[in-house]
Amino acid sequence: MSGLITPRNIILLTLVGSFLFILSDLTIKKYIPVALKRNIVGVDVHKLSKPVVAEMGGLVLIAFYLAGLIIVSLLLPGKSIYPLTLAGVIIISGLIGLIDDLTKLGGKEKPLILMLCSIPLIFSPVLIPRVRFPFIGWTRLFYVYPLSLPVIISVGANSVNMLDVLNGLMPSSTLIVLFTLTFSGLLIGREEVLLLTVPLIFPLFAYYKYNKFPARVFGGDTGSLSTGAALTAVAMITKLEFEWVVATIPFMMNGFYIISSVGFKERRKIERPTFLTDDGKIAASDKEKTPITLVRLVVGRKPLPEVEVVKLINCLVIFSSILSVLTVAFT
Amino acid sequence: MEKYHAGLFILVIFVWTSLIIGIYMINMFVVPIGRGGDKDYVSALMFGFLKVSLSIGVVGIWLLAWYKMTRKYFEHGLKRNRGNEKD
Repeated sequence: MSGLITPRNIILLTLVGSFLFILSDLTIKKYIPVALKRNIVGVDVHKLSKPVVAEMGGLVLIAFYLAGLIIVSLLLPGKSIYPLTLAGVIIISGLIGLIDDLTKLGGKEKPLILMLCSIPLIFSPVLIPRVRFPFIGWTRLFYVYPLSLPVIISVGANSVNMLDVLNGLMPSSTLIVLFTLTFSGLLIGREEVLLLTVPLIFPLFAYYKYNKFPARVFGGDTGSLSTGAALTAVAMITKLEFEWVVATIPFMMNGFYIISSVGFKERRKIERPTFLTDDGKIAASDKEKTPITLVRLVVGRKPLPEVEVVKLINCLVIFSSILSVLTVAFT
Repeated sequence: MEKYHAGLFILVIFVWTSLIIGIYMINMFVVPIGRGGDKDYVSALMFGFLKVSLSIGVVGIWLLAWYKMTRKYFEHGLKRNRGNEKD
């Protein structure tokens, strides 16, 4: 226990969270008409009317992640290195996401460039090259850990990016994982997890309000890559790596299916794995060359409305999160 | 949620168990060797390497089975889907 959970700190974190939620909610509300006016838009392909939706809402998300992390580091200066390390990861991943949104990075370049997100983690004193495994306990990985870190952060960021395909799916599923990490962290006495998850959870809630069906704003790669990288970094800083792996099994499954069926191709260049039926439901494409994605798997038996698909995938994430908490019992 | 979707939860359990079994095997065979013992360093290393390969092999076969299962599960669902469309 690090003595972080005191009445004063709980009140402070609640106030910071509420402040972040209200401000990010207002900012996204203001951002939508501005983005539409300036033609920063994308087409919602999973609707029959193909509506035009404000894009790059992820910029607002990043701004509030960073604001929250800076406020927390100022309020709790003794622990400031934790939020500041995470802020470093978010800045780099956000910049890569922005470049991806503006110039469309290739399927092979993106995972490589995303490895740069590990720089703040490698040089941060909070990162301990030890991993806690079920049955084994703590392991020393002094050489393997720093070497594998760039790959892990790239995989984590990309897995969230690959699942950001339906209205509200990215914020809702990552919120579930963030809650799981917070719960697991508190369960094993890693109270620092609160300093990292509170500044992420509240802006993500505000974003979910506008990204859920029918979406009024899309986060773009800026939002999904930075959220994915942040989620991975939280797990690494708080030494909840194994719990993170288990909680994100549906994300990993989706990524693995895509890569194993079509390789490292940019998703915009891949043939669509699903199509819309005449009544607006999502149906699985039966073409050979299309990748097996999690969404395609869910609608494999029969076409489903978008909301139902999101609910089912979230049920899978909740299920893997329960397994993740169970895993804590083995460690 | 339908019966078909229960298969997705089984796929998640399959991955989870493969992770747990893999780590359990490493704990059983590799960790004690890594901690040393009465064996000399080279033979312990060789023995350890063999056990790591065995662990990775078992998890690999398990994951391959998982992948095959996913494909079968999906193709079966798709076939049933086409059947419904014909009706």
